[in-house]
Amino acid sequence: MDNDHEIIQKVLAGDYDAFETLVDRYQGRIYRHLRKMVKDQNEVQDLLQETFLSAYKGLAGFSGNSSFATWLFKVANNTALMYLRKKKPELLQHGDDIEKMEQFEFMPASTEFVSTPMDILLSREGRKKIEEALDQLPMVYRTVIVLKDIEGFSLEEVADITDSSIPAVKSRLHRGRNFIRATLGQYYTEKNPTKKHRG
Amino acid sequence: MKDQCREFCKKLSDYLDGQLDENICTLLEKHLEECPPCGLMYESLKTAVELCRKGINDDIPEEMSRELKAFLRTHCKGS
Repeated sequence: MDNDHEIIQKVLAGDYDAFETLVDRYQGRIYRHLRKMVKDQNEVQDLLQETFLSAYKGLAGFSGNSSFATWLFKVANNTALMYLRKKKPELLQHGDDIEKMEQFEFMPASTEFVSTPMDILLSREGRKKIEEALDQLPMVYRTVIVLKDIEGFSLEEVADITDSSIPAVKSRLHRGRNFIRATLGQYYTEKNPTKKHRG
Repeated sequence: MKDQCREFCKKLSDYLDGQLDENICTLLEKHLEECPPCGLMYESLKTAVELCRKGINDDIPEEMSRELKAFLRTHCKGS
């Protein structure tokens, strides 16, 4: 199978079918990323189409200094941010919300959470709780967690996609992850009250 | 939480990402072994990261994928 750069050369030479190969390769990941930024499926669909259309039109400007995935996620991220600034600015107004986030940073860990088997943590209900915890995060934290922990980008790539410094990405990851840890910890502690008073 | 524990807990996320110098890693690992609350904190942070990685994997609906390709063929082909 051709690598992304070889496919891009074919697209730039006028081979449209080659572009569909890129769409097949990345549509799932871009969909997942947009869905974490914008909940409404119709809006996700519009942004998905806009992202790939922008990518197609801007492909000649792709320098190859980063991976194609990083470049494409940056296009998707900027497309969604532009939309949100215009249509739903309230979702972006919290910024870093450091005061709110700091209270979760040193919240004691839950024994019940750590001792719950992985198959229960990843059950239908467990996945719902993970989604809910992620959705409660202010956008700047949610975005770095999605890019780093779910999509597997490096810190440098996340900084590139989000136009942030690496220290800012690290700090947001630290706070965002602790929020998820504390929120899920609280849930599993409350779910298992019989174990609550141990130790 | 003791000041020393707070300082170590601030480094856990970087530790998970392999971002700490070797000497700090050694100090942190020793502390995690000796301090059960911090050890638990590390385990729960690691679990939270693992859950995000494994627990969020929804696929694009087939219909949305079909409509995406139809949209792109209309707007890109021949442009």
